[in-house]
Amino acid sequence: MTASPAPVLLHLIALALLAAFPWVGGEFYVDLALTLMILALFALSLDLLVGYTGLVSFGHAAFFGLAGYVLAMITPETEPVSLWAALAACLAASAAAALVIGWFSVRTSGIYFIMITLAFAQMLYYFLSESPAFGGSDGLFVNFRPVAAVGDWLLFDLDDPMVFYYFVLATLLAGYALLTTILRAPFGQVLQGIRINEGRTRALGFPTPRYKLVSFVIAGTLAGLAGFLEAVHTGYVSPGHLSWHESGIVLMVVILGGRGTLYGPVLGAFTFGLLRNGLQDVTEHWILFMGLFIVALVLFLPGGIAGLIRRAPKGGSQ
Amino acid sequence: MSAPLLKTYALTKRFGALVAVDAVDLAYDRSGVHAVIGPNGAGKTTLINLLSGDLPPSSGGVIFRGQAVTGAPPDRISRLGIGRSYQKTNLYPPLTAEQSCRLAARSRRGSAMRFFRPAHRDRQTGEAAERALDMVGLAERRTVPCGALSHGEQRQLELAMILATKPDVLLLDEPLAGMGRDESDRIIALLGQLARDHTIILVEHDMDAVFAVADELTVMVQGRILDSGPPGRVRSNPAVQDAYLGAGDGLGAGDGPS
Amino acid sequence: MDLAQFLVQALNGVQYGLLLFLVASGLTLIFGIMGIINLAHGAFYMIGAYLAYWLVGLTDNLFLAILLGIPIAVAVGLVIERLLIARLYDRDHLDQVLLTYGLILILNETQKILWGSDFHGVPVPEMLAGSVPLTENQAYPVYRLFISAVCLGVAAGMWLVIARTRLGMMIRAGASNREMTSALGINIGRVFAIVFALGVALAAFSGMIGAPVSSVYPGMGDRVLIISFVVVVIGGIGSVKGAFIGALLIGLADTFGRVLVPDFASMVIYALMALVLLWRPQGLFGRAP
Repeated sequence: MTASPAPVLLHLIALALLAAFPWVGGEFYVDLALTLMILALFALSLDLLVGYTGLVSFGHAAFFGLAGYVLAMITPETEPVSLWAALAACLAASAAAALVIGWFSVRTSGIYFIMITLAFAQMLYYFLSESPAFGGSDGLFVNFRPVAAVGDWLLFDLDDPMVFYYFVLATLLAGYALLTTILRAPFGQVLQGIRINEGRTRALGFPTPRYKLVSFVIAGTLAGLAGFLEAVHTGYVSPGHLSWHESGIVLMVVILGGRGTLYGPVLGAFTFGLLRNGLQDVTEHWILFMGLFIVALVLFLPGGIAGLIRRAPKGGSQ
Repeated sequence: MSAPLLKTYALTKRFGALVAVDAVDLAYDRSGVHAVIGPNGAGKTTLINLLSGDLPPSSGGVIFRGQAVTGAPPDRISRLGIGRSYQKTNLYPPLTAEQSCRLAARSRRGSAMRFFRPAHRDRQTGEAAERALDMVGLAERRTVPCGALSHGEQRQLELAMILATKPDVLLLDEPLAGMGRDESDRIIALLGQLARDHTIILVEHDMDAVFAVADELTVMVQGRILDSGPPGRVRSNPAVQDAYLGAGDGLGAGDGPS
Repeated sequence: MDLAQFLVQALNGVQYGLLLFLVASGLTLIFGIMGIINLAHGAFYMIGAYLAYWLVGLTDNLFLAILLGIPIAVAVGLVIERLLIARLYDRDHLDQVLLTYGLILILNETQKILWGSDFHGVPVPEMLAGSVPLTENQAYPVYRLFISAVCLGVAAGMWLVIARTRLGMMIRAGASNREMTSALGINIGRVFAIVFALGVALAAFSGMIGAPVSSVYPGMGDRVLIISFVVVVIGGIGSVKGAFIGALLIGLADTFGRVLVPDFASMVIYALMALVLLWRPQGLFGRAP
């Protein structure tokens, strides 16, 4: 089973659209597109767990938010931090957190796994919102965007909106490519076996807890990457970034787009983001409609948008 | 070779007050088919689960190649060279027969924690998978998803998957269940071939098959071994006939999980 | 901390734990018997609290409010069960988590539409408004003792049901298995509806009786939900006994945690959960995997 059945052409078209967008879209929509690309990366990272390893995490936002906090904490008040240092620190922190949380969590399965991941995220949430050192419920500011410099030479300027847009797009692309690669590799095949039938996979000789942990760490690190981008984008982090509502939303995005497809969660992120944006304009009680939408989604479209695409009749076949 | 390949000593498994396997001592040599028979509830599948690492024993132990493997997890037992098939079909429904065997074969090619080279380019794994499918006669059905295979074919695939892991010991839990006559005969012939250089521990209710292929017969009743030895001698043991075989009709006490 | 303070905290912890037990026991039963993860369970606690606020506003009598409110809550619960939950019986955990998450959003927002975003108080019934002396200088509110007593009574009632009825037999057997329940000759749909209604009633009752102590505010269900999860995980899925012990543990740990380590107060219970799971991954009384 390949990581993505959609033709390469569609991928290239989507990429071209995203790449061309800043030239045609207004500032507001470019900013929205940034938010959605970051959400897409976040959703991709969760799909590795949910769609490919069969691990339903309800605490994935912990890594997303933690990376943002690390950025805020290492960015000094008066000058920017180096991009390389910031990335290293944030990814290392997410990976470390995922290692610890994952080690506890993969010992469980099913409902227990869902609940323990949820609870660890809550732990981190309360830690950051109640300890005085982290800005409390107000959160922290990221005073400057990181600087992409080698020595004195500035490689690119993240303060320029266009440059930042392409930086985020490139990162999304890199994340997508990385996941596609590892899923086609033996590692990904074992994950798939674990998702379909863990007992059998173990009986064949694969130490499945180890694979689940590695998958969890990779997913957590990628989520941290998305969280890093979000913090750079908005210049702000708050405990809300780690809340279980955040975890619920990203989970929903993965299902909406179609889990286990990689391109599905990307589609899901854009669909959800546009929908949320539209609803928020229409009514202050948009959450109600979001809830109705989620319920309808689960009842009537369990395969997500990707499921619809796969069912669409192909020209000339059958 | 003097030391047995696989040995159990006082192997016991309790589920609360129920003693499913009761102080079983067994020794298996390097090759041959060792059949384990007995009425339902005799503890046969539990014994297999103990040997495969799917269940930890309550007491007693298992020794493989002179090393204690008591309580080792199933993946470690598999890597050591003991493979098992399942009584209830335990496959990967959406994967094809070939993909399933590839996964099985991959487990012998060193660590699968490889992230960059695509798995389908691994020729050796592909060949091992093909050989395994050939051996059981599923080569033509290799691109069929497991869920779409007939019941008998699924049982064949069970066997193929273990063979792809190149085990020294095969723990087979009712491999012939639900198979037609032709398929059964084919598998019995295969087992006979494999028995030359594998140790096969075979739990079966199909008495014809058992007597056709077994080099040794062990009868279990209520968790204990009633008799163990050459099939001819064991089947004429009056205690065995009373408990299980019935006076001369050679049929099992019934089908269904043991 | 001196004896008086210790007693107060201990009593508070037990009372909090007992209220949690009502909510958590419903959650664990719904998991254990129906196999459903119901994230919206906390919303029923919230519904109970808001019903108490509304009905006490109308009738000026908490007991009457509870008498009227429970049937309303159960009715809402049954409608939700028939319309939505029933469709989750054959679906996997992910679908259940998502659908019930959507349900939380719907219920929370509906609450805001009906009653706004302010905090509300519910007055303690007059006859229970006093205090009893604990030590020379320390008195303790009667109402809190009342809560604990009532919850213990409910717990005793639950124990009776579990020990003496067929439904209880299923619970003890850890039956989430539909084959087993149909083998017992019971109508599955009806059993599930009863279990769900029971869970809703317990959660709503907890919200109602606890309202004078906890106040009534948006999102109160979310907090209780997560903590109930922790209780269920610690106690073991499907085990009411586990929910009881887990709830008391959590109630005491949280209460004393707030006093002893105020900066890390909220984390204490999660750390406790991690420790329990490290020792027994299936919870204290859960079935071993």
